[in-house]
Amino acid sequence: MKPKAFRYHRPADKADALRMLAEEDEDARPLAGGQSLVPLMNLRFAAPSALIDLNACADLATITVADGVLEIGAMVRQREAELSPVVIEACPLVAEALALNGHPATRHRGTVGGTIAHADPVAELSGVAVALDAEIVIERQGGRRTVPAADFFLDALTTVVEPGEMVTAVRFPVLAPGTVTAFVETGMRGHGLAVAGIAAALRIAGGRIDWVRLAAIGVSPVPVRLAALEEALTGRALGEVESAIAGVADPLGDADLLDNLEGSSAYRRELVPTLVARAVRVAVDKMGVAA
Amino acid sequence: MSDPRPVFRHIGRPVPRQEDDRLLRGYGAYVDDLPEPPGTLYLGCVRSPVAHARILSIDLAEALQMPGVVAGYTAADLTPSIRTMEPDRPKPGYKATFRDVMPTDRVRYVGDTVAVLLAEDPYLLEDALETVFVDYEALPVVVSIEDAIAEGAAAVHDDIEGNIPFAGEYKTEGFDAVFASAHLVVKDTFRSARMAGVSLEPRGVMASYDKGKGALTLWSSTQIPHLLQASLGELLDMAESRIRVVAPDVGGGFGIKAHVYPEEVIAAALARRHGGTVKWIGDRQDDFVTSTHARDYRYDVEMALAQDGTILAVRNRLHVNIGAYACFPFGSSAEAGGGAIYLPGAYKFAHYAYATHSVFTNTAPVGVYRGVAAPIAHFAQEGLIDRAAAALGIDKLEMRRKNLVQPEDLPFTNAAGITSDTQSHAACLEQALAAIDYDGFRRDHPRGEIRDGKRYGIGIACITEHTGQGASRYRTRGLHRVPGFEGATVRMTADGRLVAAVSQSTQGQGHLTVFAQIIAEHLGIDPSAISVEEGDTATTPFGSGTFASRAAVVAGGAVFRASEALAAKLKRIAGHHLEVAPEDVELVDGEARVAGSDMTMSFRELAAIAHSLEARPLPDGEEYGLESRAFYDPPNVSIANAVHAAVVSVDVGTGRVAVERYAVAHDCGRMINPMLVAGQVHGGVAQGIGEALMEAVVYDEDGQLLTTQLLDYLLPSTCDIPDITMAHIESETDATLGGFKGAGEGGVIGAVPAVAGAVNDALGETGAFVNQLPLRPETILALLRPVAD
Ligand SMILES: Cc1cc2nc3c(=O)[nH]c(=O)nc-3n(C[C@H](O)[C@H](O)[C@H](O)COP(=O)(O)OP(=O)(O)OC[C@H]3O[C@@H](n4cnc5c(N)ncnc54)[C@H](O)[C@@H]3O)c2cc1C
Repeated sequence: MKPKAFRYHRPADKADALRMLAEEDEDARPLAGGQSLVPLMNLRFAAPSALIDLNACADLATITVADGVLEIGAMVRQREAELSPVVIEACPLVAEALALNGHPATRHRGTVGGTIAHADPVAELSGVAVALDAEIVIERQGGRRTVPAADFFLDALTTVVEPGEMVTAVRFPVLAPGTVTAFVETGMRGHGLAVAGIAAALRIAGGRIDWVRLAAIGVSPVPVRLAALEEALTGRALGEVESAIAGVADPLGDADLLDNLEGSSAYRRELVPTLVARAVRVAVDKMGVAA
Repeated sequence: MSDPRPVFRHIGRPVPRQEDDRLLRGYGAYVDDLPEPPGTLYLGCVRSPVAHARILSIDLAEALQMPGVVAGYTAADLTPSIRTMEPDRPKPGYKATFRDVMPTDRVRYVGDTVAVLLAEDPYLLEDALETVFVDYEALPVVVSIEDAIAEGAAAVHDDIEGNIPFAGEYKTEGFDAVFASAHLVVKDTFRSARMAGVSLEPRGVMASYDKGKGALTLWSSTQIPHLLQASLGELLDMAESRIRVVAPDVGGGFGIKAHVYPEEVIAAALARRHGGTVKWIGDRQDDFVTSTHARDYRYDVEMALAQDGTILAVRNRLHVNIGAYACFPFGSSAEAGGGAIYLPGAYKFAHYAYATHSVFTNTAPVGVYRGVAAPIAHFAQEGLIDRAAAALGIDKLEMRRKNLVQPEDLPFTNAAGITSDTQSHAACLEQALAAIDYDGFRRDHPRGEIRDGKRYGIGIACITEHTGQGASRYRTRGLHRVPGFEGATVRMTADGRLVAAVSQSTQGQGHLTVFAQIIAEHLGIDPSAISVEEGDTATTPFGSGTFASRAAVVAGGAVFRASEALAAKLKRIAGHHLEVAPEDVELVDGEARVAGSDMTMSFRELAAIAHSLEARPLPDGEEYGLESRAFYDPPNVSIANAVHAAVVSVDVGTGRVAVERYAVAHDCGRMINPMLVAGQVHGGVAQGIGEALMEAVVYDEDGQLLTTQLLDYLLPSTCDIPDITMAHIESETDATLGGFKGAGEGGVIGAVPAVAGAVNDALGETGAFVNQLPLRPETILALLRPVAD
């Protein structure tokens, strides 16, 4: 539980951080909330040559809404985003997902950019990003690119971010009025890491599902967009939800499935329709409250 | 001896814990907080990454060149100065067992220590450990009980054929005929998980050798300072008079720290060799890999019944996977022996047979953990009663009422030969049912109902807890290294204050508080004014240590006796000076009073006289000083009992079990402090819920440990533990001083069968019964599938 020696830098702002990333070797890593990186270093599963500590970069910690996009800076704390009226108004699913990420104590340190960049297969926010076609803003000194969430996650703990680059913000769509959302997950414990979870957003028109977005976390090394279920549910009356879900033989398609101590791949396969039905029900129930 | 049972003033009160103030303020000092003497060296262990292999070569050359590294040793360098541990002596049923603190020729589990390094800095030490190269030649690996006892299985120890170092058998007379005559036999194979007894503070040790005095001081996060001192003397060939062991504040133990570990012995040996201080602090990973694991049982149990539900006989075939080495000091038989005798428990069937076995495998050694084999013994027994109730169409409460030991049966000797003078199963059952509102539950939850995607069930477990075992019990069990008695010194200082030193060591149970209450009772002084010390072999009398729910009963008895003798002496001195008979003196509020008069002498005055600090003499024949030392060895074992009742929900979509409500009716004889009894039960129930629902140490088939962090080894959190309603019954036993029984383990012993029983109840008409822990969602979903379809 003692990390290997590393160099340590504490940039004052984003530009400074990007410069340091450029100057360091390719084993340098940004340090955000440290909730995953520090334990991994203590276990020597990670041994970065240098840490670029982003905690003093105030310009990476802003939340803005413009042109139908909610942009959350990489260093916004999960707890701040979870409780932010701006986030709750623009894209409540982000807040709902973060409320399930760890505990208040870890969310006060852990960041929005950190959870996305870390790419844990059970990270709730990654599921939201994939369900809602969020974009990840990646920058390097003198360069910036925007990657759709669907292309961002390559494997467990692996993303398209290259050495010298970092995530600077995540852009979620502002949800249209009338959209209802739910994040539903299940795990071994009453609270803690999920075995599987579903991010859901939908709109109802004329008693039928008019628009629906679904993604699953925890079933595969990366979040899985549940396109077949979205298609099957679109146009369905609320009373037909269960049968529509049951009608999709293989909602996970050819996704690689996780198989580990928390559950077999068969178990995860079984959970997906159950959790989707629950997520739809929870989301729809919110309409009653809103109406 | 005076009648110890007038109205109690201090015993029985929920006195707040003396311990809390300093711990909550952060003034606690655990091993890693102790000041390090200059020149302290850090000990690091090179652990085997393979489960079973011959060691071909060990190359420390690169490590020895690394910055900060001072020395490195292999077994070949060290073993001449460290004797082999011998947990078991050969006798019928028991084979001799051995363990080298570092194996010389071959490793037997992932985590066996093959070499050690000493460095000036713990960070540099870890860098250096990574450079040690060990060449292994793989040997066949046995991981499970079934692997190890299979025909032709590889031997973990060459001298233990069939991998069974301990086997025991027992059968009541006439068993076979009764069993054969039964109307119904229900049977199943019950398995626990392998578990880890995770304490907040992992193990750690610091050893200092004083070259001038030739003396060793060793601070260890241990539950058994005196036995550790004795072991170090034996293993290092040192006089015990030159060894002092101190258990400073210890952050939890649960039995795991009631063993002597290689790191303690190696640190001591190297401190001696280097003439300085050597420190080893385990981290969470070390703890999962090298601290003793627990449980890992297979119980094959058959229960024979009459048509009316009377249990006639039980046959128990038990195997315990004890890992690669017998633990020290308990030896190879602690689990298998316990598992065999815990089973009849609360029930009065007359016929019992067991065949029990300890099995060596290439996994971490298994040792004692809160509850030992009892949770699984009761899981099996209560599980079979549920099955029998279903098969016979008899209500499961009715089954229990019919078979429980009743007040009129007392004193009762059960089918395993365990005698107890007091038990209160029937009363506990009724109180637990009332506390959980059993009838209300049955009204609100019609059988087979699915409400909001959940099924609900209620489980009842009637359990016994073997507490306060004395020397005779350990001798019967063949645990020759466990003394069984405890000691206490109670002393009044020259200024009239009270201090006590007890042979125990505390890991958070509240010993200091309860022992102060017992002293207060005899000496008439507020318990908060009494200082109690434990854990230091230099200042406390010899004793066994803290495990197996023994502190209150055994050390409590020693404190009781020592206090009684000191009180008698104070009364004699006061009587002499007040010119009354000692019997007419009472000790109240820090002074000696003559009943029915206003004559008093303060403790300060009496202490001054006893220390010859006043010009007033002691009575003729009285010795100077006010110190009384007593040892107590209780008769055999005290049986505490409880009934646990749990309500669970089972999510039919995910299989997840949640414990919704929980009640315990508990009887540990006379309670010294009901608040601490409740705390013991609450903590135990939480651990039992973890054991029932989620905790599992997992090895793969090559003997690789897959659960090395708290991410993989799941402990329950507060979100998984409901409020616990408690009812107390106090059936005082005449068998122990003060009428105390132990209370440390009943919580976990009851929770496992109660939760499992509630899940059985929820599975209801599916006809499924659980038989394997933990009851993880996937397992439960599979059991539900036939109905879900
Ligand atoms: C007790 C506990 C419970 C938890 N439970 C959950 C849970 O339920 N769900 C869940 O999803 N997570 C959980 N986590 C993980 C945690 O909540 C964070 O989401 C996660 O640790 C990452 O956030 P961080 O800011 O701490 O990142 P860090 O730990 O600082 O970094 C994580 C990784 O991301 C990289 N990184 C960080 N920021 C950037 C950036 N801007 N650009 C590029 N790379 C970057 C780092 O270099 C590192 O490799 C838990 C953690 C703990 C300690």
